[in-house]
Amino acid sequence: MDISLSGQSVAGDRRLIRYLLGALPDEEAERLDEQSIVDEGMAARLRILEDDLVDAYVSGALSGETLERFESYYLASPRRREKVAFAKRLLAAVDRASASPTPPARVVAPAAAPAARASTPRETPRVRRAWFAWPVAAAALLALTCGTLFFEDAQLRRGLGEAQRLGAAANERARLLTQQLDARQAENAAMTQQLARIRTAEPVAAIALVLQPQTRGADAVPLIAVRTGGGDVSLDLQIETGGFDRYQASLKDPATARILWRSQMLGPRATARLSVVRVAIPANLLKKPQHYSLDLFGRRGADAPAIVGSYAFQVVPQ
Amino acid sequence: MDVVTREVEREEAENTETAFTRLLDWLDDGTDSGGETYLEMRRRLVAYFDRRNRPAADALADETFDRISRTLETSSIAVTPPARYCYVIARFVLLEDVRRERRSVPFDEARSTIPIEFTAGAREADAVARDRRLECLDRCLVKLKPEQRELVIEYYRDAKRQRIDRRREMASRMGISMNALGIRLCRIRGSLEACMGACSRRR
Repeated sequence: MDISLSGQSVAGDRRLIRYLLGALPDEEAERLDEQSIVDEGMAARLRILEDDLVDAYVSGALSGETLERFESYYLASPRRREKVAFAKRLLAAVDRASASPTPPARVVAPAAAPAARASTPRETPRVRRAWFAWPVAAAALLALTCGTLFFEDAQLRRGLGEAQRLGAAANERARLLTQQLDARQAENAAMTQQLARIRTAEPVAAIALVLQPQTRGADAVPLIAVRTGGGDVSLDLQIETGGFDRYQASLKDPATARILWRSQMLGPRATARLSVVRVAIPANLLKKPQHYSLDLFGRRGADAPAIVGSYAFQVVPQ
Repeated sequence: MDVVTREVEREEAENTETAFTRLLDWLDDGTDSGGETYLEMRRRLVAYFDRRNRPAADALADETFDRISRTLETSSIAVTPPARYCYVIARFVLLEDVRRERRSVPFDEARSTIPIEFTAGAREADAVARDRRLECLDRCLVKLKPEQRELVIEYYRDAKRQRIDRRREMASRMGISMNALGIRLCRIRGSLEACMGACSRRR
């Protein structure tokens, strides 16, 4: 099956198709996630490939692992199922529109039998046509009936096949959901154990943890253990966009978008390897075990503040 | 009270319009796309959330834009290009949606149950609905400009090898790359999908 219809790199397209079918490792998929939004060329290429993939499925051109993956993963989303349904209608409409009109079939009358068979000269042709017409009509009716039955049978088979495929997709979806539930429960158990370990661990002296701006990595949110009743939590925010005199950080609860705290104006610090802005957040603001985000704004002279980065971290109260 | 309510509603609508205009301008980043950049970015975000198997992909894309709008109300955004900042915020929105799902351990009934009916009545109703949708698609095809309609028919006709050769020939005739041809057809296809969706909802 050749889905790469546009002369692009076949290997590159195969990778993107695996991405569309959820078959890439997480880290690679996340890189493509970012490119699919940020990179115009990548976004366009993905769109073309996805349409071609769906059309290939509708045309019955998929096979093997690609077909299995399409039916088990791609069809699991109602939105993507709707894309497939639309593709079927579109291709059917195009077939109708591009079919050229055919000339009417020439009807050839049955040849008249030799005159020797006739009983009378005048009656013979009518009688001959009469006994010949009924079998022909019966045969035509039989053919029509068979044709209708055959057509309905073909439709039923298609419907049955489609229902079986959808049923298989539903079963696979249920299996995946069960797996996910098991995985989540295992993660919860691990998190509970980790929490217990942190709570019983010796208190760690206050250090300045370096946070990087959030750009990629679903699982790369740093965990910070915060001792309630303690002083401040120091965080060094790595700056990628420089050129500002001063900085101000605001702590936000991402779930409600509420700003919990704002820092004073801060100056940048340059270490051997990078530039950072150090913020000290009162520990009593970080009581809940959840994600928080720090938005860092840069100020230059009297200009309006400009956001230079967002930093995510998760708090584990101790 | 009714007058006050109307005044408040009008002010909220104006604020919403202002915020939306500000968002469009920021996305356009110095050009004037007439809203096309916003539509394209929204499409990419919805596709991203859908690929991550989020059921409410549309709502999450809107939430992403709402948060960016709120940021634009109080400050400018130094992260460039705008698409990169959209991705950063979308990641936050995705993480939170995943976290919400973990807390509630949902089981999406709508996705799990796919009705399979074999009764004659259900088949007939299905056939009627199918015919209606085909009618909608035919109407939407008619609404296209003639050159667009011809492009669609020519691009999607035939099968397999003939289709590839035909597309190559089309691109060569139009003086564009096959990729550019593909993008053009994706856009027309997207507008047909939207038209069909609107038509189906009306009927």
